[in-house]
Amino acid sequence: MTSMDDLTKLTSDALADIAGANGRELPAVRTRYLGKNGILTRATKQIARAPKEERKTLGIKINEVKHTILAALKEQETALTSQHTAIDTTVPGTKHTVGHLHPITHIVEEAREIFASIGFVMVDGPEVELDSYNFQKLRLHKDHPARDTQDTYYIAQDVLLRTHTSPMQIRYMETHKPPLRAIFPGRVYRRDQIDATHLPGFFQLEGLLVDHKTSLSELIGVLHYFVQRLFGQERKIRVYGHYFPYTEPSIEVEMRHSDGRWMEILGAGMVHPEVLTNCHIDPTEFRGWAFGMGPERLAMLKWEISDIRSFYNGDVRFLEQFS
Amino acid sequence: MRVPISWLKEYVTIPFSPKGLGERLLLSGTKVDSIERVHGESVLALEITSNRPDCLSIIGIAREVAALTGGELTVPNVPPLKRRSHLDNPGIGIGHGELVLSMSSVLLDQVTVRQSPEWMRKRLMSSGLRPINAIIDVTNYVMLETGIPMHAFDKDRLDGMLTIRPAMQGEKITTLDGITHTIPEESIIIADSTKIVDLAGIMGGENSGIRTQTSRVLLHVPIYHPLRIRRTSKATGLRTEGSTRYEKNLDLLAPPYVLRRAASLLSQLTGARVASTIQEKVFLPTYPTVIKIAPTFISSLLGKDIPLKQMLKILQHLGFTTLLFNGILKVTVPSFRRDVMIQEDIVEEIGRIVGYHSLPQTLPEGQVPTPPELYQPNVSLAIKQASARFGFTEHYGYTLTSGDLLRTLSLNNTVPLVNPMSKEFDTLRPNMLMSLLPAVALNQKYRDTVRLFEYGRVFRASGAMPDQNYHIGYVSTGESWASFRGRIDAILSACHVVQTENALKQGSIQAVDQKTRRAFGISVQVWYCELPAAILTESLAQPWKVRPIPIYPPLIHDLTFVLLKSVQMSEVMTAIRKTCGKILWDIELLRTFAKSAEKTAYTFRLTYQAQDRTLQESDIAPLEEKMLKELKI
Repeated sequence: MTSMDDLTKLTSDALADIAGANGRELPAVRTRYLGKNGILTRATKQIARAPKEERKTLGIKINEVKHTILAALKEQETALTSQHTAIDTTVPGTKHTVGHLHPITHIVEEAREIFASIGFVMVDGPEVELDSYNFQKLRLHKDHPARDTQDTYYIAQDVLLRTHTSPMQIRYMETHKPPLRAIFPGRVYRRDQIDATHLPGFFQLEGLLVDHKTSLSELIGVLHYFVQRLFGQERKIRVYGHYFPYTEPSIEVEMRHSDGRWMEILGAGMVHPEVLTNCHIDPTEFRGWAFGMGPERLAMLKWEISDIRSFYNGDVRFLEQFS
Repeated sequence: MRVPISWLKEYVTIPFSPKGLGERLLLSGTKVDSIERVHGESVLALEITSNRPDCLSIIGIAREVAALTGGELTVPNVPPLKRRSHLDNPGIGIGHGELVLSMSSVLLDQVTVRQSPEWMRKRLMSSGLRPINAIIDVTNYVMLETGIPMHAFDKDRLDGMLTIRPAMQGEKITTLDGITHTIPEESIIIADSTKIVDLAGIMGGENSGIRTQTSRVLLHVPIYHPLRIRRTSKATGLRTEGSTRYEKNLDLLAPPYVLRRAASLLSQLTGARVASTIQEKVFLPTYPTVIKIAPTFISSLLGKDIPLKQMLKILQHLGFTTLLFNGILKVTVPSFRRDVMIQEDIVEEIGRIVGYHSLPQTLPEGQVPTPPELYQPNVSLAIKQASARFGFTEHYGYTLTSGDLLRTLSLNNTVPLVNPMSKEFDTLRPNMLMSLLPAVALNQKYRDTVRLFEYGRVFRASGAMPDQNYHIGYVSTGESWASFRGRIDAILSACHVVQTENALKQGSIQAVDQKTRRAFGISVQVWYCELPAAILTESLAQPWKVRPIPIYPPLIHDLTFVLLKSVQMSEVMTAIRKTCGKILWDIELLRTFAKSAEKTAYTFRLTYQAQDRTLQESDIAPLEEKMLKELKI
């Protein structure tokens, strides 16, 4: 004689059997419970033997159980079918082509953002320059020994291909009143024997700040900030004295590479008062500092690139590795 | 400058290892290229900046170490030379005053030429100089020790008085290395009554040099006009330890001490005796430079308060004399520091010895400036990103190219270099194609499809200063024309260009011709487009023109026109646009079909749209009739 408890146990047994059945076994489970001689079918037939007052509740319960089993069967069927027609999501998709920006663009744009965060604007300038802007107004007079390290390409008397981005300091100071903060990226040219480390043209990034009050501490602070933003907060720098005709005091900054070696990454210093005067800025009222660095060098350190020529020969197998 | 540490130790105590010493020197501004082991001891290879010729000497470096350690510098004390009465002067006359800034000379006799002692030879070799004989070795040794070069003549090989004068055109000299040079005009030379005996400041003449039989030595310690030495050195290509020093601003008060030092060593090592008066001439007034500076200025420029006591100690150790008066420091600059002229130079002396690593690192406190440039959008990045979005990879090529190549391709109006290093890079690129095609040539080995762009300057002759405007160039291989053109149109649209046809008219868009391709070794077809970047810059400055989404449904017509092959697509589309006006929302070329040898069929999908009503066929029919009339169909 089937009781309510029997029906409850029946339900849980049925659900367990359904859940555990695979595609082949499911029809057998259906038959076991709902077939001609199924467990539920037999229980239904036994309602007639139950006491009169219990028949109604039993009937309702059996109906409920039937629906529950049917729903579970349907669900399991769907689940099992979709597994058969499932997509292998591990298959790689169609290749979409996308273009890539050059690593130097990445460095320059990142520099733009880093310096913008401390109030610097980015300005571009001419590559063919006048001797006065490239040398003389920067205290590099004709015959200055420091000119030796910057052999120059000329296109006419006093018209040359700029050997550094420093002329932009002059151009900007002549046309803007302090306080000023600007960075100047661009191509520069050196007349050197062309080999693995010397190219006819390469990039530089110049920076300049002129204000009523500033100091070497602010210069070093900004350079350290830049290095940490570009290479990571733990990056260490070291600063030592150097010489440039257009800055006094002058410094060079080295960064510790992952292999432990110190690598020179930029030169900087307080703008020489004569240079300020050349730009009609009163050195007793204002003072400034400037720096220069090489984006290729920064890229080589950041991404472990060993050959500077990679930046210019246009091999897509190199260029495609950058986003 | 090579510095054997054992030699350095003679002048200053060094409480560091060679590596430690190298690091401290580096931080204070003397760069150490390497530390080598030579003949069993450590030698520092230093890179000295051009403003510090005082450091091209062992004593100079010792002084730097003394300043870093607070230790004492011991300079060899040389007693005055034994002067003998009734002697002639050594016999050097100066023809032109401005050639020699200061000078000290003496004649020595009873000289026996022998080998210099082991200790001197060792120090010379560790410093990179070859020992020859005691006379020459002493001149080199004292030069390395003091930083002042000098020359020794064999007096008996000289005819009469010597004159220091500028060289005249065509004069020649055979130098000590046996090579004959034509002397550049205006170089400083020393001549006796019959011949030229010295290319002053560079190298002595073979005809007057020291030999084993030399018994009388004319010892000459001059300081020449640096620019003349530099020009002669560059013109002849001769660079010596002497000339490197003479090119710079040497200590004009040094020759007397240097002469005494050398003569004293020669006396010890070769038996030399003074045989003349000592000729000492200082031609340039050398009043010491005195700089007045407030200690607060030093602290303010460095950004850190440095105790006055520390400042004074540093300056004194570096050879400066200091006097504090009413809170202002009066610093007298020693004669060997001609690079120190202004207050900022004093700040550098303090800063570099204190060590820049000890300065606090702060960010700028001042007000953020707002120049006009700040209000301009980042156009170059927008153009580059648009280009990359549509499949082009950014290339940076060389801006220099070959003039011969440009001439082969009939490209004129170019900007050549006056002094190129090679024929490969002797002219500035007049267009972007010249730097894109080498990249295509390289990549064709590895890829069937190559798509590159470059954004940069191109150069055209134009009077005194060439034009150097920004262009953007695109190249593509391995795709159809339609595909290439589609990308370019998409890029232009992304840069807010409405009429792409007009924009392209201002540049060029075509297939690269065979002649050009061959010149670069390219076998495949290359599509190419180049535009002045100004077009894109201007269009990007215009805001998006957003059209409201129409509420009324559009009317779409597919029309096929059969036209002569000679008719350009731009004419057709301009005619259609002109005829329809604002009511034409969009036009798309669906298909092209070659109907015959002379005629092509074009199927366009025209989307008509009104903002105020649903368009009817009757609205459009007259327009399309007009269109056909315009196109003469």
